[in-house]
Amino acid sequence: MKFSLLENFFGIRTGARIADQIILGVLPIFFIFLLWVFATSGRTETVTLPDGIFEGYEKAAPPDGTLFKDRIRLTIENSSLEYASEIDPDQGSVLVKDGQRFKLGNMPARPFGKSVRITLPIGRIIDRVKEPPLPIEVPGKKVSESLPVAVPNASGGEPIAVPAVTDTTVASIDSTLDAVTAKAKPPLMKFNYQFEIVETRIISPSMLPSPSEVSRSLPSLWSDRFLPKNILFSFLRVSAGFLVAFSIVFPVSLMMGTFSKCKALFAPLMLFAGYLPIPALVPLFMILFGTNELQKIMFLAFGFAIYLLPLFVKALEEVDNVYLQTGYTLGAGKFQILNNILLPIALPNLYDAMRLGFGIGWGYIILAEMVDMGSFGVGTLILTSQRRGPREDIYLVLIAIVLMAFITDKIWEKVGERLFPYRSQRR
Amino acid sequence: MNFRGKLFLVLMAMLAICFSFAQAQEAPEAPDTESITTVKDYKFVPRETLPPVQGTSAYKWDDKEKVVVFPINVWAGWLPIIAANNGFAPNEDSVFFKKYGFKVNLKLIDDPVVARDTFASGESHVLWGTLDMMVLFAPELMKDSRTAPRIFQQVDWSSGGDGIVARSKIRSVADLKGKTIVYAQNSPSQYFISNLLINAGIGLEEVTHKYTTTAFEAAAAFVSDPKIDACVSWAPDIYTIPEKVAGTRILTTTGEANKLIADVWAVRADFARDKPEIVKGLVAGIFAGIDMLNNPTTKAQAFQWMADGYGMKIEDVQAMEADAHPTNFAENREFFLNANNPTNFERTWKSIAYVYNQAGLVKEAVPFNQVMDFSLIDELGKSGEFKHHQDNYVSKFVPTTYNKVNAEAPIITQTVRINFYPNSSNIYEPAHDITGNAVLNTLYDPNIEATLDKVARLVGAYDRAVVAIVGHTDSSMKGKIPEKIVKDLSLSRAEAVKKALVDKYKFDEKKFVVEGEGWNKPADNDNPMNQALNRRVEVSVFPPESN
Repeated sequence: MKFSLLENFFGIRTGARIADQIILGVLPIFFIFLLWVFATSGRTETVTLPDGIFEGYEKAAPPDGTLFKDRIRLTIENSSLEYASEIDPDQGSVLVKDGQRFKLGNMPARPFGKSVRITLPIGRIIDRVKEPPLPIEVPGKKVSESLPVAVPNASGGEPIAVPAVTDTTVASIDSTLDAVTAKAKPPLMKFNYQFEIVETRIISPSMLPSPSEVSRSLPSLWSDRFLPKNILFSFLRVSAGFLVAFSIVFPVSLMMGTFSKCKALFAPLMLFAGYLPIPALVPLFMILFGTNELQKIMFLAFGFAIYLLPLFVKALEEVDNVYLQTGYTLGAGKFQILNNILLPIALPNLYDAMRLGFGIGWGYIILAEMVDMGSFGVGTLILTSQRRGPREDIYLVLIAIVLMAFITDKIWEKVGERLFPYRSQRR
Repeated sequence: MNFRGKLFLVLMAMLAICFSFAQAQEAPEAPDTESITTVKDYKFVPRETLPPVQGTSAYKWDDKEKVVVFPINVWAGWLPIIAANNGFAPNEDSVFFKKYGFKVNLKLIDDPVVARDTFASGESHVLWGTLDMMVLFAPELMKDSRTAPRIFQQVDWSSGGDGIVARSKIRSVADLKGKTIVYAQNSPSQYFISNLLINAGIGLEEVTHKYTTTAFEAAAAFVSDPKIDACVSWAPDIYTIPEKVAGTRILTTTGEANKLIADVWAVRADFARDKPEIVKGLVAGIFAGIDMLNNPTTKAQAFQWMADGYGMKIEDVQAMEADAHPTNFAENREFFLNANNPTNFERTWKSIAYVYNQAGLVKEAVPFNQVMDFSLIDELGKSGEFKHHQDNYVSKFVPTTYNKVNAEAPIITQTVRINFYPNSSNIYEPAHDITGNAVLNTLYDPNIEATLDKVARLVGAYDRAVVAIVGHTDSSMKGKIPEKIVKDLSLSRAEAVKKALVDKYKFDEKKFVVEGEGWNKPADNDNPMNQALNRRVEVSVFPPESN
């Protein structure tokens, strides 16, 4: 296959193969996606922590490689916490277990009885490390030789908690209970945990979630927050508003495009309406149409109408006078001119205006669904997610709307090809 | 009927026989409630519970100019900081510059979502909000340890600024059952109404909720749609609607629930870490602003700045003054440090978390001690800089009687279920063993502290209102014993609840009226013989006008 993507890139109206069109169309989207990934990837870090009880894994410990998709709590028994010192607050708090110190960095931790409870950030357990038993050295001979067998544990394997023995002087009196229990204690289990330091991202996660976070939020948005139902509600509203707008705009534009006096009658109104800041009109529509579906549909209809009306009028006015004069010459009456000449010629342009205008409704959906937010809709989803999160859902809804727009536009296009086959002829 | 019920029946009969004996026996033996201290300070150190901050700070800062960007909304509570800052723009005549060497840029950002986004992006250092908004914002902001909110100071209590307007037929919160309410979602309005409904024992699903984005739209929806029975909104709408629209009335406002909605500000955690002296200057400067408002000329000037900054007329700004009560140092100390205060930060935060959990908005709220930092209030207390501030947000009550108070419908009635030991009115009654001897260190009703706390939070939030505590008994002995006996028992139970509240939470005794209804008012009129429901204490909040 010939590589034709860059060939004759700036050729005027040279046409492009469909495969090239798709590749070229996807490129900028892919570029934006890469930017998104770049701006929301932080440095990863690996910490070593003593093993403990993972929230949700009380019965069986999570295996190596487990990915935690949510922040979870890890309870480490028989340990203590040292807080960041005043002198070096950046150091973060330190966990102490069996005399070993573990830096916690920015992980929130608090004492919980005799244990310490750490909130782990989203991340993965890489592997577990088994710490060899503390070699307790005695000059000349090893302690382990003097105590060849670990003291049997009567309580069935339950280790007896004791303060760590790090001081070698203790070991010289190797018959003490401390030395014995230190030996009896199982080795300290540790694990390596890898996570992303979200603070190193270019854009903070409290502003923009990363693509993976957004994708993880999809199941809950889909099933818990009923994304399909919300899209359906919004789609029905947009369609209903469109139909209402069409049924008003079509006759009005027909009159304006045909009769100059009628145009003079409505032209100033059309101009002013186009300049109105629509958000300010939300309360007015509420007073006129209540707080239920009617208000949302009428609001959307208004948004459609002020967009469609000038386009419709223009489409009708663009019909060349030659056709009308030919009609008159052939003895056509007023109605025939309108029905057989003006409308059929303007119809493809009217259809294009409708296709362009249908997208406008999705732009106004947030404003329309501001009132009575309990009654479903993607606008409501965005508004509530802005307030109480998850922020991920905002971007998911935006993506859903984009997909929706893509599908509906394809439908408009296909229907247009059927209705006006002479238009889609190759130029 | 269960065993406890039978036991109760038998003992009621015994009570009838040896009434005077029982009276003499119960009086002096109330066990110590152990918490009779006015102020109990927190033991923990905020630094240890607050989530640590990591990474390089991400807020905008110019070390030469030193301008703190402090967004505010249209709200009366910001008058002290406007006075302290000598207007909205950063300037060198402000208290902040003269005393602490930095400038403050007060920016009007009325939309909470926009304010939150400027805060999260580092364009501003401060986030304004009510405490309930902070509960909603905190989980998202804490995804980044640098944007975690730190709350050092309370600005004011809403004191008439928020309210509920209803059609005239609705006399009490209980009447809202099955009705339609409109309010701004995820806002103080939602917390206000949800809190009331839950306290009145009405499930949130028993009411039709209609949501808007702002309180103004809620008021407009109520006015335009007669099918809506009530709205939650702000001043001045809540006061102008009853004047303009026939058949509407104010159900309740934060004029009575004057310790329910707390306005605070939060700083970014990284800013608090890097510039503790500036945060301290902000806190102290706002307290200084409260002092400056004692001077009428400064106050008039502050109102003028406020009017200019908000683009409003000065009369309108002055009319807002009654909406909020700016909290001075002493009141902040009560709010942040007094662990026994029924309306302190911790309890307010927990109430919000509970209400929003019931409403399905928050699954698990951030613990209060991960956002609250009382260290600066504590430091200022030790330095004695504001020791001239007195807690003057204390309501005064004149002694009154139940009959006088009960002439009007209560705003809200909370049914409290305390399991009294049969024939006892001691709420701290220990459990008894099978022979009837009291068991040490046990409680017959183990939930009593939690129950009292719930009552205290309602009573505390309605600081200005009069509270009636009415005791009821079951009607199992009706016709067998004289009515006076049960009336006395129910009265002494009501008295016991009152005493416990006054002892533990230091309420003014004159705030309460007590009454014993005996068996006259069954809990459920459709099923008057449901005796388990009938043994209860009801706490009713009455508007302060009626005393």
